[in-house]
Amino acid sequence: MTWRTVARRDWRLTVDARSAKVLLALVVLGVLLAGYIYPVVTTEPYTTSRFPAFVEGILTTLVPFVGVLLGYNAVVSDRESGAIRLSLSLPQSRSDVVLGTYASRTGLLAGTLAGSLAVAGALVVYPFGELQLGRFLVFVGLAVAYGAVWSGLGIAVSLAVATKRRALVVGFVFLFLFVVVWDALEAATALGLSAAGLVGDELPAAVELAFGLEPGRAFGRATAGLVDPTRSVEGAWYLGGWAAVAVLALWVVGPLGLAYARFAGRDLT
Amino acid sequence: MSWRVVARKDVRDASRSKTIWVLVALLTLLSVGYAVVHEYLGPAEFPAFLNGLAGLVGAVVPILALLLGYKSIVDDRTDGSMFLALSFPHSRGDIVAGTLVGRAVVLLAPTLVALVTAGAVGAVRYGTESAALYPLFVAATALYGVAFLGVAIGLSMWTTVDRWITLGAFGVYMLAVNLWGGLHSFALLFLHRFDGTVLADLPDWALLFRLAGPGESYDRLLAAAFDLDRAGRYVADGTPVYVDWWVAVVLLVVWFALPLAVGYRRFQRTDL
Repeated sequence: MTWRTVARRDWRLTVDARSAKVLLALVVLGVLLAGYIYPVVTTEPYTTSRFPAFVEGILTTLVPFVGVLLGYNAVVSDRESGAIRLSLSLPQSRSDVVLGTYASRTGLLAGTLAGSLAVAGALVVYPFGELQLGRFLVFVGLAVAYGAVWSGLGIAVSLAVATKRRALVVGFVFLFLFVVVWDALEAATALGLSAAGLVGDELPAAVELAFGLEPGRAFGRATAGLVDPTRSVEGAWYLGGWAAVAVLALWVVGPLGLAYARFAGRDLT
Repeated sequence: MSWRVVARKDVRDASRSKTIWVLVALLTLLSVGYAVVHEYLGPAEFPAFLNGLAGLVGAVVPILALLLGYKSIVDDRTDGSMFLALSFPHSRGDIVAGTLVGRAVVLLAPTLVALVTAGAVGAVRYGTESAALYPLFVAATALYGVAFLGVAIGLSMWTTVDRWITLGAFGVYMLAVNLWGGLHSFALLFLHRFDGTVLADLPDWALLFRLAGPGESYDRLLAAAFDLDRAGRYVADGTPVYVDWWVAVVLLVVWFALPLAVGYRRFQRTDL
C-alpha cells in the first residue's frame, strides 16, 4: 500500500507548483465561464442536461492540454535527475510509484473538473435553468473519466521515454493529432477515398469506427447518448453511448498499461 | 469573576482619554443637532424624525464601535501590559470578557445619553406620535453598536499586525455599512446575467441575504416597531417568514458573536 505515500507526496509537490495551479485555474475558468454565459448565448430550455453539449467544446480543448502537461514530467523528471533510483531503493515497487503518481495527478484534475462543473451547474440552474441531477452526475463522471484519459496519456508518455524533452514532444504529438488535426484528417480521408472512387458520400463503417475512437469523440458520443435527452447518437451500435464509455475505459487502461510494460522492463540508469 | 476588575479598569482608562469625550460630544451634538434641523429636512412628525435619526446613527455608531474596539486587545498585547495583566489571576477569557464589557459600557453610555436627549428634543418639537416606543429604538441601536464592537474586538484578537487590523476595521465599516446594498444588488445582477428586472422584484432568498447586512438588520428591527420608509421591502405583503424582525436580532447577534469566537479561538492558542 505504499502507493498512497507516493500519491500524497506527489500531490503536495504538484499542488505547490505554479504551473499546475495555472493549468488547473485555466480549466476552472473555462468551465465557469461556460456555465455563466450558457443561458445568455443559447435558447431555452436551460437544463443541466443540455449544458454538456455547450461545455463539451471547451472541455475537449482544455482538458487534453492540461492532462498532458500535468502528466508528462511526472515520472521522467525523477528518472532524468536520478531521484527515482532513490525512491525505488525505499520499500516501494515501480508499480507503486506509477500508481501513486497516476492517482495524485488524475485526482487533482478530476477534483478540479468535478468542483468547477458543480459550480457551473449551479450557475446554470440559478436563476433560469432546471436541475436534472442524475443525468448531470453522469456527465460529471464522464468528464472525470475524460480527464483521467488525458492525464493517463501524459503519465504514459512520461513512463515510455527517458528524457523530459522527448516526453514533451511525444505528448504534443498526441495532442496535435487528436485535438488539432483529427477532424481535418477525417475530412481528408473522406475526400481522398471518394476521389479515388472507392466510396460514396459515407465513409465505410470500419473507417468511421477508427475515427470515432478518439477520446474526445468518445466523450462527445457518451454525453450525447447518456446525458442529453434531446440529442441522440446516430449510426451503428458501436457508435452508441455505452460503447463510447467502453472506449473511454480502454483509453484509461490501454496507454498506461502499455507504457508501464515498457517502463517495468527498463534499466533506469 | 475577575473580568469585573478588568472591565472597571477599562472604563476608567477610557474615561481619562480625551478622544472618548470628543466622541461623546460629537455624537450628542450630531443627534441633538439633527433633532433641531430635522424640520427643514423632512415632514415635522416623530416617525419621520426617527427615520432620519436612524440613518444618521446607523452610520456613526459603527465608526465609534470600531474605533473603540479595534485596538483594544492588540495594544495591550504589543506594549506588554497584557503580559503583566495575565500574571495576575486573570485568565485570557477574563481579560477578553472584561474588555468587551468595559468597551460596551464606554460605547453605550454616550449613545444612550445622546439618543435620550435627541429623543426628548424630538418629542418636544415633532409631537409624541409613537414616541412611547422610543426605548425600542435605543435598544436596537445598542444591539447594532455592540455587534460592531464584537467585530472590532474579534479583529483585535485575530492578529497583531497593525496594518491588517486598521484595514480590517475600515473594510468592515465599508462592507457592512456602505457597500452591502450595492454588493448585494451587483451579485444578484451578476447571477441573473445583468437582467435588471430582478432588482425591482427580489427573489425571497435574496431578501435574507440582504438582511444579513447589519445596517439592514438594524433598519428591519426599527421597522418592526415604527412605520418607517427604511426597510420597507421586508414588511411588504408576502415576504417570507425568515425576514421577520427576530431574524434581524439573530443576525446581529451572529455579527457580534462569530468574529468574537473566531478571534478568541486564535487568541487563546497563540503565544504572546
